[in-house]
Amino acid sequence: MADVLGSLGFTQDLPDDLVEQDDFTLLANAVRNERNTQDILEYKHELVERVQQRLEDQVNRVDTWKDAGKSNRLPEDDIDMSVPILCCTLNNNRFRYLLKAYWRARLQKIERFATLIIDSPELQRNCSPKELQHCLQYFVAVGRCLKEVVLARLPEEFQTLVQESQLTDARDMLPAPRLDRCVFVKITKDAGHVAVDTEGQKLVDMKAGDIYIIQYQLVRRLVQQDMAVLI
Amino acid sequence: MPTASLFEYVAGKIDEPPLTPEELEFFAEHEKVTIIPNFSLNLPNGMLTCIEGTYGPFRPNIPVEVPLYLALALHRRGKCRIQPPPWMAKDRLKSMLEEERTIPQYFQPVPQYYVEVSKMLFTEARAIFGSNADVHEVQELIEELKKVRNSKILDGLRKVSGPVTVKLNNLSASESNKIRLLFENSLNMWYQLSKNDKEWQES
Repeated sequence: MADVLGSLGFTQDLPDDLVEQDDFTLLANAVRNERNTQDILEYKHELVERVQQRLEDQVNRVDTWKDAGKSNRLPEDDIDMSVPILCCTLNNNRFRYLLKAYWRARLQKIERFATLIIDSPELQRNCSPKELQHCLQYFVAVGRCLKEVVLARLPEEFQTLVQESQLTDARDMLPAPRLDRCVFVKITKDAGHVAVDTEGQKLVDMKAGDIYIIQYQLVRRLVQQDMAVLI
Repeated sequence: MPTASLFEYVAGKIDEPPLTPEELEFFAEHEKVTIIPNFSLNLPNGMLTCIEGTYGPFRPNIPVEVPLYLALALHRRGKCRIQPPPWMAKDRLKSMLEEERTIPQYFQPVPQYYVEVSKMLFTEARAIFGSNADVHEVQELIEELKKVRNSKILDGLRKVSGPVTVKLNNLSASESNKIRLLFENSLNMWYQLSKNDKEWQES
């Protein structure tokens, strides 16, 4: 709805806390957040379950309309449901696309940082149970493949997946998300003073509706609390 | 910086732009427009219930607000008349263009998806703006607006010379997507260089 009011030129009048964002906007924001950063963000359990439930209901509704249209014998009793069927089918396809985009963006990141997730309980909390299962299976499968194809033929000290060689103690071959990359961020609620440089010296008062291009780690907290959206 | 791991190569697809213009158009199709249907919806109260909310009531000749994709689908089947959005009125566009030209430092408030919405309306629903001449005029005004804003963006980009945070209010979605890769990657490079510089100075 903020976009509607924005398109009418009224963005400044309504405080953003009062604006109800519909499920499409919430899911679209979630997809954009996932795409724009390498960080593993919190899984939106409630939103996804709610959308899935309503999607299923709507698919069933459209199917009953279609069946009713086919089984009717008398043309006088035939209620023309072509418009609702059209509208709901379009709507279903859009939401299916959003859900798939959300899951795919997350799975790509999880596969990329599989080793890190397995090691870190904090990141595991951000994933859903199915994602964790996929992560583990992916790690096992890829690990086995890499071992058989490459690592078994290397000298003894270099045969680990997670260390550069067994001569070092640290597990230094784990890819980690780069949190210091820059992102476009749009602030949705007044966020007060936020540091805009890495030393934390320059503070800027961030108001709702501002757009900044800034290092991700400086606004990470705002994104996690839904006070800002990556665009 | 950790050395490149075998998993990085397997996952692949590292440096792709996060959002394609087609996806921006998809998000833009959610913007609301007013239509005047010429049919009556066969559902209770004439209300259409979708996953994100209800739209309606759909009665002949009564204006109703729907998302753009729905309006275009109904328009294609001849079931409604789309009303041009209020920000696309000629005088609104002219005054926006004037303000955009007179104030070079800031961008004027503009609908977030004005590029996508205007493109979709021009390709699918040209008739809603009136005669051919009117359509051309509105199209030209929007092109002018895009050009003026574009030149402001390029001027701003030329002035950026270090790892700073930039405030870019009222930038539309397509404009931010255009400069995203260039802007983000140059700032990343600057941050990396200044970090290396600091480390070298401390040693």
